[in-house]
Amino acid sequence: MAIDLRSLTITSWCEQLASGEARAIDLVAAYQVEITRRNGELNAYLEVFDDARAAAEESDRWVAAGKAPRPLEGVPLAIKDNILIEGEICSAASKMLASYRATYSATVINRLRQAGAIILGRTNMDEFAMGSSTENSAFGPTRHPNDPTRVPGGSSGGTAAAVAAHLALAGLGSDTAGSVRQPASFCGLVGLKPTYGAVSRFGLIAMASSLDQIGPITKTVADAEIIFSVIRGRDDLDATTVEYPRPQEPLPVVADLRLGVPENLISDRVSEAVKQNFDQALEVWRALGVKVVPINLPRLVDALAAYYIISPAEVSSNLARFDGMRYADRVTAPTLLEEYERTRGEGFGQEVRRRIILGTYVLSSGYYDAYYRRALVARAFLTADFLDAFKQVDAVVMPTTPSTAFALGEKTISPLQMYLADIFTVPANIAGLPALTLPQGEDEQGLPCGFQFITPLFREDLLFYLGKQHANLSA
Amino acid sequence: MIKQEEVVSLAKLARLALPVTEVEKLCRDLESILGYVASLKVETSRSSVATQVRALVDNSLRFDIAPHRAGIYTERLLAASPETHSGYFVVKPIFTDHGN
Repeated sequence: MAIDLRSLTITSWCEQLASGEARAIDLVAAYQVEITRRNGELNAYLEVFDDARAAAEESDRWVAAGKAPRPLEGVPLAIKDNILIEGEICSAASKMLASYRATYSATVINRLRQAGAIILGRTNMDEFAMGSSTENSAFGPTRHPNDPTRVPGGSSGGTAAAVAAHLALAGLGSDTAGSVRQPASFCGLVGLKPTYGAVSRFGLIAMASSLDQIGPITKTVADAEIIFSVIRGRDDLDATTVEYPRPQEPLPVVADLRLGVPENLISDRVSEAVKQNFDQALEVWRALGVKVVPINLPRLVDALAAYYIISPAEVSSNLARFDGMRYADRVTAPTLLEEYERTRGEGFGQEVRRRIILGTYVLSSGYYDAYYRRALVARAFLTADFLDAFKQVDAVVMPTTPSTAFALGEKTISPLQMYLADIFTVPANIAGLPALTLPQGEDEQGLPCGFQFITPLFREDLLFYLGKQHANLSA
Repeated sequence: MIKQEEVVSLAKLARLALPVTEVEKLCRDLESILGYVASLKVETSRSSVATQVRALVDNSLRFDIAPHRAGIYTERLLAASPETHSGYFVVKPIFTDHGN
């Protein structure tokens, strides 16, 4: 039977599968046709895996044998190229790891496969997840599916473009400062940054370990919930994970909800279209009897500054392991030190080099107190501000991004301008909180805007509840 | 003002060979980024830091035991390296015998 990829969701696919109307092999074949048709233009996938059809046949055999379909039975996914899949190249979109084959699979990959998912391929990204546009890839930029002259956002831009262009049913990205939510918002999708410690990072190539989280990019909130329920939970191989707690509080009825708007951050930092769409959504919430209240998060404006100290500091440490001795290619030179320097200098791209130098600077003797220590304090204060805010409101709401998708090359000249694209997403990473973006209207050129909810730690249940209500309002 | 010598010295610390043409641009970029992050105005007395950070961190430790049987990944890990010899990674010698 013909499959309409445009309207298909994980939920509707599972219904078709349960009724015996569908086969995974047909779905995978349909996506592969679309990938062949569009990937040359979009550059969303760096590689499409040969074994996807075999995995689909195995899934079909599982169902044909009368076994109950698993939560992601036959669901074809796109995976960001910094998540290890055993036997496959995992390059983090870097020349440094262009030929590196993963020696094991990430915990999230094992969990997805155990749930019946099929991995279609690995997707493009900003090199080592550093960027907000997917232009910093050693393998060329990814383009926005609605307008190829624009970026899809980043750093998980390949996954977002693949899902938005119907080249995968859903996918995984990683979010260190907004790298799931910002591209999801640019591409009109749902993106989840889980609570720090909710999802294992074992097998994720580390960027900034106190901030990184893996999260789904999907077409609907319900789909994000399904993937999250599969990948979440304690993993003995990642000491930062915890047993995912059962909800302690019941979900509030809509009329009792209180949403907090940090007006001090939003006021003059967003485009007119983003502001209009955001205000329109708040009006709809108010019409339902929800209390939309201004909240004071005085340190929120510090989040991005703290991020650009903490993150490069961790980057300079995490990326020290790439020296050409144990992974990938080595540039030979007369001495060991020169081999390190030349391998790293030639293997890393410009943005990665910039952040390593910045991280080395803020950690160096004499500057540690002025930068790194100050950033840690700001981080603690910001987290305390959020905890206070959640005594008054159920969720904090903000636009996901200051603008809609920008043009290729528009922000590559000034790194600071590129960094400012993360101003609304970075606070959740700094405070470790869960956050969800979902589509909220379009600008005059038809490019999607995003609406973001942030809830207390481990309250993804509340995020999904709010997100589903919000999607119904917008429908 | 970040000087070019500082960037060169930082690159040395980070074991990173920088193209000469990039040093000047890096000075400008760092200047602009550090100017922005300098907007952080917070109390940084040591006691305040310790209290604030301690309140956030709940260390999770695991038992110091081997997560898997020794040697089961050795071949695969070595296969990812540019050069190996008899089950070891090959690196250039750090000490030479010039002094002998």
